[in-house]
Amino acid sequence: METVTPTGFPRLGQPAPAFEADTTHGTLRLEDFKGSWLVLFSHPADFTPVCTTEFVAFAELAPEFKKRNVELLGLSIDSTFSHIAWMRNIEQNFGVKVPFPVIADLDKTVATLYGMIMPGESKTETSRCVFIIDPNAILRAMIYYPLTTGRNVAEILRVIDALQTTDKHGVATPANWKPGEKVIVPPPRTTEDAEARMKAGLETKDWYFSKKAL
Amino acid sequence: MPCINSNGELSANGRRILAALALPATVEQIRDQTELPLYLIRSGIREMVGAGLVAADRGTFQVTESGQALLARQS
Repeated sequence: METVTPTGFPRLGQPAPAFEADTTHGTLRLEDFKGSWLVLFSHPADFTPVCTTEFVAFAELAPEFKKRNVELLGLSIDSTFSHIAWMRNIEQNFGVKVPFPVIADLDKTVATLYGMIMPGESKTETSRCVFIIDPNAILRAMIYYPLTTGRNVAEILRVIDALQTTDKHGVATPANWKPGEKVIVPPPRTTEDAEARMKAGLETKDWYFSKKAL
Repeated sequence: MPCINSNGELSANGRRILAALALPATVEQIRDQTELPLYLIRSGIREMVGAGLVAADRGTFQVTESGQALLARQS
């Protein structure tokens, strides 16, 4: 019977695991990103087709992330030299300059800290993991995709918009929400508040289900 | 990007950060002056403090004489 070594996974709402890593922009620490949102994302390997489409997609939407005070940080178990060569290759072949740093995690330190390696898929590559970390270094969202499925970068941007809207307005966001659409008002916690909610002038389906425009 | 290259010379970012440190400044003030991202400023300052080009004092940073000399040589 195969022995499975358990690996720790970071938890939502808790501090993101600290790291120091070699990147294409020099040595970076998690704490260097304090004050900015951070999307830390792993890919299986440089010079592979699905990952290339993802990097083109992240690079094309980088200005939108920047507008939202979000930094991007890639990661794979490849060397800095491989990353540099791949970034240059992407620019030559696709006309897109990758503006964000990429971690060269050859010893798998960061990948292990964040549980990016899924042994059932590959023991030598990171899966397509996304960690959204807020300006106080709290882990706010995690998304995992398998090796074969390229990510929807617009969805990652949508999650950022939802988290920032939640933080700014103290609301939640419904399924498939997009900026500009109505948001969910947190449900009342007492019978008195439930009664008041029905008369609060919100778009209320029932005492626990109210929406409002921002 | 690293602020000091393998030849011991300042990179473009290194020059921008050092030029912003004539007077003591916080990382946020450096960001406002240089428009560089915070992570590049923090990692660059760490590198330049280690190289003796920047002095740190309770959350503010200022270029040292060595830093001024290197900046002048490359300007």
